[in-house]
Amino acid sequence: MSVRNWFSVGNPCKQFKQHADLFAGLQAQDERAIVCLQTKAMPMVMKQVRAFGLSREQGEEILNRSTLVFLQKIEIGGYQFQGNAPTSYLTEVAKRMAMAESRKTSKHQHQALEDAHIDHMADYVENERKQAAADMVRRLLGKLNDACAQVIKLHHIDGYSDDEVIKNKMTPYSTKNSLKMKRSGCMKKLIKIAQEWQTSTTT
Amino acid sequence: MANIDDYLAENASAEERSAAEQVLLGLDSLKLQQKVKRAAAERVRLQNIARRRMAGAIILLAILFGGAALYWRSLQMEPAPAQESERTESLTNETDDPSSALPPETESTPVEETVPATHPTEEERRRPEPTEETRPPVPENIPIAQSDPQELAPLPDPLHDAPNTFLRGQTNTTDSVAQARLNALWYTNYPLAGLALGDNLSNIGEALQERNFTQAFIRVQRAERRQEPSDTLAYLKAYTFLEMGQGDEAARTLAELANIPEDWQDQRDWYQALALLLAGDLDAAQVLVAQIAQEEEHAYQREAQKALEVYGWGG
Repeated sequence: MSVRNWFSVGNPCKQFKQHADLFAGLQAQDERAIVCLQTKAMPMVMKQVRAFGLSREQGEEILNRSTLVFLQKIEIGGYQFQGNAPTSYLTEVAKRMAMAESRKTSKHQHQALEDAHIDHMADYVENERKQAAADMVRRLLGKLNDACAQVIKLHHIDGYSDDEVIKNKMTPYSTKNSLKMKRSGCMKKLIKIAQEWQTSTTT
Repeated sequence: MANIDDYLAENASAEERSAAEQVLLGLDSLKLQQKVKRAAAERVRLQNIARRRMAGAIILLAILFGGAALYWRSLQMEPAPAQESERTESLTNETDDPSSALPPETESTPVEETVPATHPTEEERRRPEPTEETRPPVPENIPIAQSDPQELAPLPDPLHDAPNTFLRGQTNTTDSVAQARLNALWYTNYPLAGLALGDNLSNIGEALQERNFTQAFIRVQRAERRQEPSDTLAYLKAYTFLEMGQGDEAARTLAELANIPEDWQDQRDWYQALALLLAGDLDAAQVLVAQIAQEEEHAYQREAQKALEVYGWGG
C-alpha cells in the first residue's frame, strides 16, 4: 500500500470529487454518497451545534436527522441541483435543527429566532408526515408475528433483494416464489392492521 | 417501492388503499432512516481509522525527527572513544604498580595499555594531510632548514599541528593563542636525524612512522622492560612524549640524553625547545630558541627565528 493510499483509504469522497457526482449519488440514495455528505458536513455542523450550546451527541443526532430531511427533499424533487455543494444545504438544514433543539432546552433565550424558523417550517411538513408514517409502521410491525415482520423488514427496510435473502438463508424460504407469496400475505396483514388502527384513531 | 396493487385486491376500499399508502410511506421512510443510520456508523468507523492513522503518522514522524535530532546531536558532539576511558583506567593501574599494568608482548595486542590519560587521542591530533599539490617537497630525514641552505624562500608551514594539550571544553582565548603558536612552529619529522634502529626497536619506528604515538609509547615501555637503557630508546621515547603532548616528560627525557652523536644534536636542541614551549616553560624555551637562532650552522636556525617572531622575542 502506497503512502497516498494509506492516507486516502478512509476517504469516503474518493468517488464523489465533483458536486454533481455527489448529488447523483444522493439522488440514488447511495450509502457511500451519504457517508461522504456527512463526513464533509460534520465539522461545520459540529461548529454550529457547539455555538448553540448543544452536546456532541446532540450534534450527531442533528446531523442524521438533517441528512434524512435533505434526502427526502431530493427524493420529492424539492431540491434542485444548481452546481452548489450539497453540503451547504445540509449544513443549513442542520443549523435550523440546532436552533430548534436549542430553543427546546431554553425557549426564552431564543425567542428572536422563532420567526426565522417559521419561514422554513414547510420544509419539515413532509418530513413530519413521513416520520409519523414510519413510527406507525414500526409499531404495527411489532404486532405481526416474527416471521412476517422479518420478511417485510428484509425487503422493505433493509433493502435486500429476494436473491440475497435466499442465498444467505435469512428466512426459511428457499425459493423466490415462496418468499414473495409469504411477503405478500404478510403485507396484507400489515395493511389490515393499519386500516384498523386508522379507523380506531379517527373514531 | 413495491406497488400497492401487489398487496391489494382490485376491489379494495378507499380506507384500505389509504392504509396501504401509509404503510408503504412508513416503510419507505424507515428504509431511508436505516440507510442514514448505516452511513453514520460507517462515517464514524472511517473517522476512527483516519484518527488512528493520523496518530500513527504523528508518532512515526516524532520517532523519525527524534532519531534525526539524536543523530545530529551525536554528530555535533565530538566522540569520546572508548579507548579514552580504558586509558584512564590503565593509568590508574600504572600509578599503583607500573610494571604490572603491562601485559606480555604480543603483536596483536590492541592499544589498551598504559597511556598518559591527559593526552588527546590520535584521531584528535591527526589533521587532514596536505595534498600532494600543496605539500612542499621535503627530503626525508633532513630538517627543513637544511634541505637547501641557499634557499631563501619563506619557511613552509609545518606538516602537522602540535598536539592539543588543552582540556576539551575548557579552552579559552589564551589557550587558543598558545595552541596556534605551537601549531605554527611544530616542525617535527620522523625518522629522527641520524638515528638507525636495530631490529629490537624497529617496531617503535614503524609506529612513529605511522604517527600512531599511542602504539609507539606502548612499544617503548615494553622495550624498556626487556632491554638495557640506551640513548636511542630514550630519544625515541622523548620524541613519542613530544608528539603525545607530554612537554614536561619530553623535555626531561631529552635533557637526560648524554653523549649523543653529533648528528642528533641540532634536532635534539629544537625538540627540546618545542618540549619546553609545550610544557609552558617559556623562559627556558626563550633562552634555548635564542641560542639556536644565533647559530649560523644550526639546522633549525630558521625555525628558531620564526619562533622568536611568533612569541615576540625578537626585539
